[in-house]
Amino acid sequence: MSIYFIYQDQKRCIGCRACEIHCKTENDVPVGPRFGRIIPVGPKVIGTVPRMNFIFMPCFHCENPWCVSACPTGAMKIRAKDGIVFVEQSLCVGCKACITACPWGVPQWDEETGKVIKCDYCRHRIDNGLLPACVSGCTTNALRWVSPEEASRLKRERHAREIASNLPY
Amino acid sequence: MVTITLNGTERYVEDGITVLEAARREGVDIPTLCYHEALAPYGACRLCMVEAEGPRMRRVLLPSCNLKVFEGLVIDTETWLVRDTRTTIMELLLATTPNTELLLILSRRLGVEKTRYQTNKVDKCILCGLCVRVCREKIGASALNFKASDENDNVVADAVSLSSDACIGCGSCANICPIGVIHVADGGDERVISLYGEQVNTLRLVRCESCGKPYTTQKFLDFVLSRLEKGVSSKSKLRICENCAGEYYSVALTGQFLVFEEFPPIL
Repeated sequence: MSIYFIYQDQKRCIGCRACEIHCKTENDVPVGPRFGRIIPVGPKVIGTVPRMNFIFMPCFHCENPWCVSACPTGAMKIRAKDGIVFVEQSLCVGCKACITACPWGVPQWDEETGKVIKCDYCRHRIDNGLLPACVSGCTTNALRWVSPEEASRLKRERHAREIASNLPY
Repeated sequence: MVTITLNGTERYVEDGITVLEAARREGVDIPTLCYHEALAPYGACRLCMVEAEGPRMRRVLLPSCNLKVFEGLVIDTETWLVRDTRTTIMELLLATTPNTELLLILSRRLGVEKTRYQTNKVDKCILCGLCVRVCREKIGASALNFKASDENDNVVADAVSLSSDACIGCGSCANICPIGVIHVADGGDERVISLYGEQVNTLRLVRCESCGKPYTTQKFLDFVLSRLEKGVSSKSKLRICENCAGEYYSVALTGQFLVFEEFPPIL
């Protein structure tokens, strides 16, 4: 797994899709494919109010990525220093094995070049000490650029707060 | 590291790479057509010809994609001989395939406006071998092969043929073909592969278990599964198309962890 993680606070996310737009602009993604996606789930009636959830789906940069195992040319690679999974464009022959292999549907197809493109956590930005486009463009601060440990801590803290707020005393 | 002389300047380059790779890394442009970084060098198009001279080698024209660098190698990429050779090759290619966008762009870049040779009316295969090589080397299906047509007395390959039994329907050949004579089209439940405008293979498509739309062929699924680790492949059969995969995950995530009908009981 990559040493980075994009934590999404679903309570803060309003589904404005600013992350998607910032990502597309920054990475020059053509019409159609999307690196990071906001997937609306719901509405679902909770108590008496309808609720929606917006799930942010970038690439998770897995520890043992199926896309990397599936790629017959070695174009899908893991960056050794931080575990970012990216496509070496010049090596891609466009067989789409990675697209079929990925359980989350992350690798995207670029019709114009006939090659696969995917989220690489904006590695050109993070190498310059900046945040990925989706995180820096998030309007409600729902996305946070953290380490996996930090993400787990944030989630547990939030869960603990929720439980505590419902305690009778 | 070895020292080579590239267009008159000395450069230190990595040992074991080809002259073409070295030149590109040093910012010297050499035109290519049949070269692909993922595939082994082939030397079919001859567009990447350079003049090479070594300590124990007289000055000759060689394809740079197939020539490894060595100590004391002298490479010239822009001599009159190289340019003349390139122009001739480009003109011959244009005579074979006059209407292809990619070739026209390449010829304009090389300053070739028109061809001196008798021109074909219809675009013909330039036999760069990219489709054959990607199918053989990378996909491992070996469905595409060179063939000679019946009226060809010399029995030299002049086209490409497809064996429908071996084809897994991945579409890499259509994708990599520089002149676009291979087409892959999905219609209804079938994927049709056509070569030079003729249908050569039809494969049934598998339907996505979530949305019900056909998305890939069974043979291609088997190919991907065979490349994944054993433990992984038994759990997932990759039965969901790439569009549904993200949504499937999100619904599972919210359904299980996020939206509580009421808060879970606290003990």
